[in-house]
Amino acid sequence: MDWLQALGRRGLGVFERLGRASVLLFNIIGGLHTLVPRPALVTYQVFSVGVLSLVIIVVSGLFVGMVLGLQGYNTLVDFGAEESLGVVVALSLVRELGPVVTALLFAGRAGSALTAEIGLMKATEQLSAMEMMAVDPVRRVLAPRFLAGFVSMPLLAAIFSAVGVTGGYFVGVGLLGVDEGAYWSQMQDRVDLYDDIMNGVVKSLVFGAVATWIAVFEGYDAVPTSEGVSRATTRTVVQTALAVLALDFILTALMFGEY
Amino acid sequence: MTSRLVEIWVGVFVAAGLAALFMLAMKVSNLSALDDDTGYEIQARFEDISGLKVRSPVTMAGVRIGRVKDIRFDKQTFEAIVTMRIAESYDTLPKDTSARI
Repeated sequence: MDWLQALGRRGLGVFERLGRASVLLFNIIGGLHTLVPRPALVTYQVFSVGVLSLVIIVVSGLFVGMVLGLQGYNTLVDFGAEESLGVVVALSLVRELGPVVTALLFAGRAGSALTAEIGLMKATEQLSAMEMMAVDPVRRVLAPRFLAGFVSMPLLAAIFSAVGVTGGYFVGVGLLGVDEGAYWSQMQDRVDLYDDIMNGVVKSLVFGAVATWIAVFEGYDAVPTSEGVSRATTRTVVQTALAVLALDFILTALMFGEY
Repeated sequence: MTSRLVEIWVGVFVAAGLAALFMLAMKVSNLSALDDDTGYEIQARFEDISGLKVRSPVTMAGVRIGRVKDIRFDKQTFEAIVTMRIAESYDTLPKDTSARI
């Protein structure tokens, strides 16, 4: 009986958190309009969330593209199809790896920082102080961070994919001797603007919203102690990774499945 | 860090992101290829289109002159009707031109 009760309590806890997270999301979205007269709040957050993530995104994108070029070439050359290297690199990056890897890196680089920052604000009672001054912390602190993450993710994913395609070009054409014209023309022939690139952008928009939502909620919901903030930060990274990978499967099935 | 520098960096970031999207659209995908709204349409009937898809290239002597616009099934004759859009510059196709997949 005891373990059944424990299971029930756990389940209720999960739903309670989900409910609080949803209410917070509605409050954030409802508070977005208050940012219109204060765009500087968002600008600063785009700097800390987007610009500071640029280095890791560009470097990872370059190496992922280069590895795709090497691995793709080794597989394709067995079939005499190394001309299709551009298609392999571009489709893998634009459809899957760009949005997904960017979201995972984003969770580690920016999501954890958001959670820690908001959690510490809560632990040091800065959020309570704002409420005392009749400033809504959801609108003043959370909404600009959420919007910044939502805007930054598709841009970061696009940069990741573009750098990756260039990295694949360096390895494929520069190192392994694939024909330059074939690399680009086969790619242009097979990659579709709406089916592939726009679907990738939609994916990264969804991931951006989910990743920042989790980060912001975990920070806002953290137990206001140093241990609680550290746990919340860990949970952000783990839950974002799980959510992104699960959502990626659902989105892929919806976009590219034949049903 | 001064707010001016922050804003400049954000500007650089947004511009780089949009440039990357633009590069993906123009260089990676087939947006730059043949505009679909110009030219004229012709139809051809086939018994089997075996894997032909809308937007597939239409070639003459191996040169791309247009794209497949629409594929339909004719209930009366049990044939496939393929509508192709041919670019304006290739308006001198002879009357007895035939198509093949």
